[in-house]
Amino acid sequence: MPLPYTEVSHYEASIAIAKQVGAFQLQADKDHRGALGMSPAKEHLVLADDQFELAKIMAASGNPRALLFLERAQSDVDLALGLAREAAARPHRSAMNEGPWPSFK
Amino acid sequence: MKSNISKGSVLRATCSVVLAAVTGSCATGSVPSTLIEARRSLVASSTGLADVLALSYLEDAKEMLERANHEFALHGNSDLCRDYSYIAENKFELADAVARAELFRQTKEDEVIQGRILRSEPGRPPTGWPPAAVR
Repeated sequence: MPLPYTEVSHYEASIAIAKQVGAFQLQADKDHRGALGMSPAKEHLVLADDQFELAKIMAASGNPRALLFLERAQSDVDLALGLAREAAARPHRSAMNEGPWPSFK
Repeated sequence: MKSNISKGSVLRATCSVVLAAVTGSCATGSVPSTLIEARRSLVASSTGLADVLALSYLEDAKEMLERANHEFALHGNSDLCRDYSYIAENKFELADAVARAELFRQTKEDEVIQGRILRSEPGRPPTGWPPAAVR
């Protein structure tokens, strides 16, 4: 049973975007730490990869649950991209401590 | 002709069938932890930023949770129910992340606008005080 071409292409395109935006290289910090000390975005990318591999194995053995594992993988990579975007938009702690106004000295 | 099956053995067999049915229904009826998590996330996201700043993502997550709940009602703690719950949980997290990113973006935009005001009127506080009439 082959995995649907459109869904697989969508998944692979999402992974390519995650690589482009540097989601794999995101570092964990004190407040945002996933499993095994990885950043949450990277953690979900690892999960996505595992589930995609499982989906391929299931599809090869004709297990219909392969489609759901592909959907799980897609949801993980979508979440990783969302978390990477959030990390990019998040102000730096030092900037937050300074406040929005420049000091008049 | 006298039957070899006594009333006691029939009662014992009935009891064991009933017991097996009850135990079986409990095993399939226990709510999967992923579904519990997704239901908690629904409450958290619906009362948080996502309800204002990432409504379409939240609706998407709610739809998936509804599918998980429906599957649980039909077949109990099944693979399908756990898969739908997992996806729903991820979608709720995504809605929250999108909402936080949007909040950061809006805050930054406000700061830029305020910064422009400050640059165009050097030395003047951002509140617009004192009013133009008394300047």
